[in-house]
Amino acid sequence: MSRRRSRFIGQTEKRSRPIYVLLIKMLEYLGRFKRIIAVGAVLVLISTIFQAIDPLVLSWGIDLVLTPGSTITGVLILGGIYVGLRLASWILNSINTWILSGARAGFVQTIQQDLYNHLVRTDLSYLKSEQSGNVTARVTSDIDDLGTGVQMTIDVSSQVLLLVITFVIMWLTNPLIALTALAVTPAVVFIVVLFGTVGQRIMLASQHAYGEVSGQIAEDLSGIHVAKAFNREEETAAKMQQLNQEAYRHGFRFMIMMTLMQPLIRAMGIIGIAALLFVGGSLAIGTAPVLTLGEVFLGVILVQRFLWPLLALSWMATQFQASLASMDRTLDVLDVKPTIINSPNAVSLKETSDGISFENLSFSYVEGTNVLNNVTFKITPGETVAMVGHTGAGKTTVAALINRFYDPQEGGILIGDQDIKDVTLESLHDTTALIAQEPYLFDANVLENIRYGRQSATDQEIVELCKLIGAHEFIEVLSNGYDTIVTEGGKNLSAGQVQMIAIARTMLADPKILILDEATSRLDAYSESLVQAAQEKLFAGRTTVVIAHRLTTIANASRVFVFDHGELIEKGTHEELLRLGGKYKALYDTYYAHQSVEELSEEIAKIAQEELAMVSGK
Amino acid sequence: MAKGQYKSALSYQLSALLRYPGVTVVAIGLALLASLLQALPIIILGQAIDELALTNQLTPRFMMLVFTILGLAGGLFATIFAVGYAFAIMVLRWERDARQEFFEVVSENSMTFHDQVDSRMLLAVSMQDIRWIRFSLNPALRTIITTIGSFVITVVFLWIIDLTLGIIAVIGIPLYIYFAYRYAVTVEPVRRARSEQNERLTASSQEVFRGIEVVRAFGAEEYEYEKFGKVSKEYQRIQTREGRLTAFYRPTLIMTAVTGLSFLYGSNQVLLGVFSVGTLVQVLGLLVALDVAGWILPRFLLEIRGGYVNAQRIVNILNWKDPLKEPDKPRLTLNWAGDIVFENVNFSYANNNGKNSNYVLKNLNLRIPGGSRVALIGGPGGGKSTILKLLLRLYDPTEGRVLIDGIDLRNIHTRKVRKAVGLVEQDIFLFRMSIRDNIAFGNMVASDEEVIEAAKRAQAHEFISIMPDGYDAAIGERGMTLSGGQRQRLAIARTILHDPKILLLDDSVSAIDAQTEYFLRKALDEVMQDRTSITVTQRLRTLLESDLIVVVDKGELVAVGIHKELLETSEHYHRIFERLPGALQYANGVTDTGGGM
Repeated sequence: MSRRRSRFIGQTEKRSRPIYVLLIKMLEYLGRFKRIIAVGAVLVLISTIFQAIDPLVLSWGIDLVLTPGSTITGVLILGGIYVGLRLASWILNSINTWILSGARAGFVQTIQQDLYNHLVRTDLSYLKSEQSGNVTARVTSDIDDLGTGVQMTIDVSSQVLLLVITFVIMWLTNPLIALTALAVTPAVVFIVVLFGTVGQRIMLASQHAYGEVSGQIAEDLSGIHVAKAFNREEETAAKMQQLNQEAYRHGFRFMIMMTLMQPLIRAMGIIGIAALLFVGGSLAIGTAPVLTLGEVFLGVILVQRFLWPLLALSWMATQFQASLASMDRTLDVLDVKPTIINSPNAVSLKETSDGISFENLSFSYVEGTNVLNNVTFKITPGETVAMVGHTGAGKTTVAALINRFYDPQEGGILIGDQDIKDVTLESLHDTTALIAQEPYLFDANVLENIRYGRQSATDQEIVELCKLIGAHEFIEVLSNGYDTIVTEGGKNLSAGQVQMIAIARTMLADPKILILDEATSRLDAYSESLVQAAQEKLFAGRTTVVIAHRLTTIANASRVFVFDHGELIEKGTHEELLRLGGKYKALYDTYYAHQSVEELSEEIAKIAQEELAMVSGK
Repeated sequence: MAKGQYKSALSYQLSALLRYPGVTVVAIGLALLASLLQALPIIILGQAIDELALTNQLTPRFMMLVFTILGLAGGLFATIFAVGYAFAIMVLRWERDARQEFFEVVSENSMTFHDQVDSRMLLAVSMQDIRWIRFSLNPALRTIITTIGSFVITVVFLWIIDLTLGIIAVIGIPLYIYFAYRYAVTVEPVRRARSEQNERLTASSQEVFRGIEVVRAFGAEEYEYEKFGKVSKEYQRIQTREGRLTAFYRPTLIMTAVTGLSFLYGSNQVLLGVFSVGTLVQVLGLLVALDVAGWILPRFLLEIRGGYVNAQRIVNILNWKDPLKEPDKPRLTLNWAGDIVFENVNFSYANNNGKNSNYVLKNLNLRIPGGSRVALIGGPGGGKSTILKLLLRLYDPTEGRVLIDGIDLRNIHTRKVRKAVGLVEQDIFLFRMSIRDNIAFGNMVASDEEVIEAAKRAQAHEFISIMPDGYDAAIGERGMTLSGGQRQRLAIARTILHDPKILLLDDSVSAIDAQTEYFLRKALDEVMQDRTSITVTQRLRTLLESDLIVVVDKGELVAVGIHKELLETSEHYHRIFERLPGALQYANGVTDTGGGM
């Protein structure tokens, strides 16, 4: 994008690798585009040479007509050369633009796809530590910057070449002329420094102020229904006015800075004319003039040519820095090698493998703090097990480990009699399915969201399936039925609809093993009874592990596992464990009992309070 | 600023300038003067060179000419700066006010609008689109005025110098501008397509990384590679196309032709003795100076075209017609404690084409006696929340009427409705402000004592007091730092202070522990006192205690009555209890014995 986030002259970004490493890497990544880019670069350089010398032709023309006895033939020849040079430069430049735009876009696409594929495969532990917006920025804007960087490298070389040739021509014409032209450079340096210091401060303040406005708009728009319900539109507008005014104040200071730059440069250009005229004039007079009038004219033209490339260079340098920083970040990502990959002799999970066993398993996200401690259990095929425990007891980790999102440090997990480390990830994921606590739906229509479970499913199959689990009627009432687009992760759906769609999606995948992190039920009583019914159909005949939040779920599970501080401390049926009167009883009183119809007494509230105090106290 | 004031995108784009016509005229005048000041040094340069050629020494006249050029540099600086300053003030003020106006109009629009429009898009429009329109005026339009000024002045000077040169310029330069414009027109849609494709690219990758666990769990990596590949290849195609359009930029050739011809003609005139060498210098100098200008022109033309499309997008949003209209003669008084009646209510949410035959509520007839406690339950998407929203008058029924005390809600101003009807929604939204301000959200003039009193009644005072800053504690991004139960109690406190006559509660909270539950039930009892309340509930206990239970499914009323009746008559209602251990017996027990177990 040309109107990308604004950067500033002299603004630098921190990098962790030295420049030459980054440049070499960049060259490496150019890969198959290397040759084509080299061709483009050569074309650009030649065209720059032509461009640099065309004013020379004009000045020769002036001198020619001043020479007594000249004829129109000479003028015609020079005119021809001038037009020829311009034409050649134009053609070369255009060919270069033509080639490079294809190469650059291709280069960007290639890295983009590589990086994307890499990120999709990267361990969850990495992705979880980054915000999705940041990860996306790696794929989009950073790579775009990289493309710009390639372009910039060529542009910078061409500008440098232009400067050098221009200077050489001036020096050859007369060193004094060249030195006079140099007199304008301090002005450019002044501008660059001014904008790099004061300008950057002003710009940051301005960006901050605009960020405030943007943040406030985002918040107010997402809370618009509340503002309406409480009649607060006017007050919100008043607050916005303040922030807007603040942004205006900063924006104005910034714009005035920018407004200063143009006249400064232009005035310097005019001063350059005056200076050159004076110096050139002094040299062109007398009995033995060192300079011709054509050369005076040449000097005037060239000094103009000196200013803009200098300024452009300082701007390009900033862009270039940004590209290096992008390269740096891209390398950071690519250097993270996924650890969860198919082992060299991985086999497919056998048809007959079913049931889950944990064997002396210990796991920690951060070294030293075990989330699971020496956990051993066996779930037989077709069994439904409910896992209960306080937040942080390790239930969610168990679910993630079965899907092999992470590998345990000690012990192992078997499906049937196969260790999941020895089977292919593809076959593992074909066999198991996970429904997260807050099911994620994509911004596609409902049908496509369900089809995500199995890409080959026909529309017909999906509708049949939805009818079977009782989701059909709730999808039908959506504004466009199955074609309704899910927006912003589901703001246009009710919580119950989101859960129904997620259940349908998983049903379609038809996994043998199901892991469900039960939604912390944000449904009304009736919807919940329907979702429960659908869930029961989903569980039927499958090995199921469910992190239970609902009374119904634990009551209907074949066994309940009780987790506490990473350890599996109680196992048994709901009734058995209740009779046991241990941890499960306490958890039941705290989290589940009140979901029934019985009166909630102050006494039970007390028990819950004590139980919770114990957890947070540890 | 009144709504719907902008008839065309063009007047919107230019409104920064139209607001200050005087300043605009002066600024444009100065911009043209700047073009003149820019060209004059070249003319003087020619005279100075003639002076040199004639006298072969640095005469006082020569020196005077040099100093004149220096003086012009000062004048040029002042003029360009003045123009820039005037434009800066105009466009920045406009940007500030346009953003404010956009925000206000959008906030005033009813929920029908917000259902249809993605809030991220609105944010992007209010920040970027408005900035781009500003950009299209300053620097784009400002620079173009100066540039065109330079072209015109060059033509004029050449005409004055010589008729033939004038004719060459008069033919060449308009042609040049025409082709530059053609270029901008061709490139603009491609560039827009690219930026849209870029948005798609960002959106699709963001989505996948947000739902990466789903991708993994279904082993859909390959599918996602392919999907992303399609989007990024299309981006590559558009990017290539845009880049290639800039190659072979024809206007450059026209400029070369004009300069070449003028060079030949001018030189010949010098040979013939008609022109002095200074005149030739003037001619060439003026034309070479256009090179830089010519390079800028197409780029900024592009920005202006782009700004116009942005303006179109904004004007479309600003001119959106709200189906929810305030009454012409609003009723001022109403007995809010009266019965609530839904009379043949049909409702459908407008979808993107504005029409929709999928009714969320179908022929709903319902009477809720004033002052009663009502429990509302139903299947997902069955119409519960729509019923609540109609009562808040966030929408009007598509057909039929909602009456309170016999008065159609359409006859009452939305402000009045929302003052009398309060909502505790399901996803509690708290603002990034202090706890105190969040509680006082519905009643800003409330004193500290009143806020604390409300918090106490909502069972929130205790946990607020132990927070580091108490009532001044700031709530994080969307109130993330509080638990579900705490947020709900804050919302209840907010509603207690708001003190509505009719209370709507979407009380389907996340699974919570018994202690929180206990506090919550007390808070709910407190807030429901002395008003009509309608609760969408998960609590079975609430069902037992309600004066009336309403069951809706697929937009239709399937059962109304009290617990005892429904348990026997409604299969839908029966279903709720059948899966819970012991619940059915318990619930039946209530029917049989009329008391506890």
